[in-house]
Amino acid sequence: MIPPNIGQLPPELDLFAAIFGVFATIFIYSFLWKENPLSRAVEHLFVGLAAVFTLAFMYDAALSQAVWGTNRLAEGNFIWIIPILLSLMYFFFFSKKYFFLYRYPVSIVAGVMAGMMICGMIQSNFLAQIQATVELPLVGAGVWEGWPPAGLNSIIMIIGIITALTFFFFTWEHTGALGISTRIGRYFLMATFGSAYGGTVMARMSLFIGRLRFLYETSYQDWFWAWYLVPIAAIIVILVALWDRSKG
Amino acid sequence: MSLVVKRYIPLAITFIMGFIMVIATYFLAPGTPARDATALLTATVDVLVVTAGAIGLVALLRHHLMNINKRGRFWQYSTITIIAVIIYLIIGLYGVATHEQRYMYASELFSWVYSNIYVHMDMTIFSLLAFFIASAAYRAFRLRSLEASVLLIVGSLMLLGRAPIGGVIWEGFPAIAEWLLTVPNAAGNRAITIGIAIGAISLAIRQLLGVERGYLGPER
Amino acid sequence: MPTEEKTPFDRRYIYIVLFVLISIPLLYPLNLPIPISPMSQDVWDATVALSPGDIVVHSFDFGPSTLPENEPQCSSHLFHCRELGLRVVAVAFWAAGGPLAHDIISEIYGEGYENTAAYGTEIVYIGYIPGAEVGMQTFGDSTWDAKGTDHYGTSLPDLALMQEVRSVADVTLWAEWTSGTPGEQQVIQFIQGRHQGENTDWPLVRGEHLLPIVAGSTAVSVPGMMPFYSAGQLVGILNGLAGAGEYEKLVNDVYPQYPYEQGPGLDAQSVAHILVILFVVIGNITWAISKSGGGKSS
Repeated sequence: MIPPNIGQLPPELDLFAAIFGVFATIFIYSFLWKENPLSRAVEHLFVGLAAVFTLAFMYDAALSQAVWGTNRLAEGNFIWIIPILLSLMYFFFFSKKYFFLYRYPVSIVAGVMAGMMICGMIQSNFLAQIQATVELPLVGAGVWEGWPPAGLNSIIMIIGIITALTFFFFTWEHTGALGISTRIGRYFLMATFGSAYGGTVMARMSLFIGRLRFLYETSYQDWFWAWYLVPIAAIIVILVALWDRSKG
Repeated sequence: MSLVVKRYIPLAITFIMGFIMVIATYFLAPGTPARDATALLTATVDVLVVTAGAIGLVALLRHHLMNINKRGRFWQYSTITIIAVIIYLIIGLYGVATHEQRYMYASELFSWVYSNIYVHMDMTIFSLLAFFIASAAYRAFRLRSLEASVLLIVGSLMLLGRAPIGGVIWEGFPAIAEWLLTVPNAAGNRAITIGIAIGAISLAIRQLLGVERGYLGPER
Repeated sequence: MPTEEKTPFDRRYIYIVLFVLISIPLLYPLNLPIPISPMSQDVWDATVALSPGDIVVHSFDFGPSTLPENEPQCSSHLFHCRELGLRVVAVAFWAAGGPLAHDIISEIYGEGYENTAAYGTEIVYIGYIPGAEVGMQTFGDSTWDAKGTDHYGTSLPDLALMQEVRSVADVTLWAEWTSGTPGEQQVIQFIQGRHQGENTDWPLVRGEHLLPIVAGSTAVSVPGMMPFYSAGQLVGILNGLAGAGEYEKLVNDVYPQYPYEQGPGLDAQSVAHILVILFVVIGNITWAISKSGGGKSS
């Protein structure tokens, strides 16, 4: 029993999607030049759709988790009424008198998450990281072969981890041996931030490239190419911007 | 209403829930009925986590409706938001009305709008960052100190090594980027990871013990 | 808008330069060769080491905003899994990933795959699992508890494949496609660490059998993944668009029917990186000149 499709959508909708995609893209990019009515309009449309999508996934998720399926509410397991009722208690957030009822579901989630966090963090982010550092290879077959040798990398790693950790010690003043250590640690942290910067540029550029590829490569039935509309969209932006300025 | 109901019972619930999770992890073997019961507990909490966003949603709609009502700044644009909400909601409710299991997402048009309208806007808005990062590269990054130089040099080497052009210019660039990523960056990030772990664990303990109460909201 | 340091020209010229120069390689590809990085090779090696019939979880934890990076990563890996005869359980811990995953799986397994015989035996799409980290932990402990029905409304126990996947101990490989939280770190914390040693077929890491996780991520998060990669908690990583292109190339070399499409994108990426480096250099030169000029220009 798999009934996801209600009705068949006409294929012409793909053309509409392409047209909308181009206009939305150009209207949003026009924000880079100056905020204008079109960029604001698309922004507000986005917020509206996002709100309904959020509502839909919350509603669907609650249904598919609590109501439908084996051992759920529809099969007579009434334990699932509890989370549904507790979920409704969130709305007491807007009541002055009964605000305290909002705290009940929140306190359950906070408690469960805090308990999970303690176990998960200790094992994977704390113990495992220390263990992996302690077990870095320093001696053994092949450790000092090749360039850079694994042994040298291990030494750099160990120095980097210890000195960068001392940078976060605020119990003592950073002078003397601790001062030297924190200074070295600072360079390792800067290298870390440099990598993060490289990664950020890479990622953001990929997203922009993705958008450009949409503009240049989208087509419909060999006669329509999305980029035909780019100059039209640009002209509309200019006209609307001029109209907006004339209004003051 | 007494302070017990308003404050102490929620604090006690937090403590008991956290306590159960820790005990279940360390003292209950997988496959035992008690451990299975905690899986059922987290399964019900899943519903609570996902519906928490409802407050934000109501607040957002209230903001836009009030803005229209008061003819506030950009109220015309708030009507766009509200119209979008109404139309998209009707499309979703069609799924609820016609689908056997009452899913909104079962409406074909609803998922179409997501994949073909919403996705375009989301991707484009996020990609604006590419322009900001390019202009920040020109205006903000200055070799003022040795630390800043390390940051910039490592960042530039990463950029050269992680794009095909780097290997074309000099075949050593990809290897250098790989080394920077897996050795100095890993060292610094491991220190940060350990630091975050300590911070998160201490915050969780404070929360369970009722020292940290911000999540309960303001005193009313 | 942040306050701007006074510069000789408007930031909008930078935008125009960026737009025009990045467009060129997209319209006239440079066809630059792409070397395969060790991290991408690790993903490939971990995947081909599996036997037909092994169970792989594909976790689609990203939204539309990082689709250009994550989509080619997970598509090529999903195709690879299908060709190797691996059985796939797809999930999404991000609400936004739910519909995207349906579209991506449909592209690999064919439109309407949810109505074919392969559905429920070769591939299952559970859909969005609510609860973020809590949902992840529930899924690792007991898959049937994590969601009542799959994405299409079937109860999980009614699917043959889900009869075999009762907890994460039945999974051979976890493929995590992520761009934030919950993502690879949460899988490591709430699934891998929690279930270590539960399946003796998992590789040994520091004396414990750990669920092997391969991740494909937006390039922003990759530096932060390195401690986990070097500790063996992550087996391999596809790093942003470059990693996606590399994996697509690896798949395309063995299965020519899978197209290699990231070439122009990576050429454009090369131009973008060079541009950003040039912006930094020019920015510093103008800054140095204005400083040595006794602040005349500022």
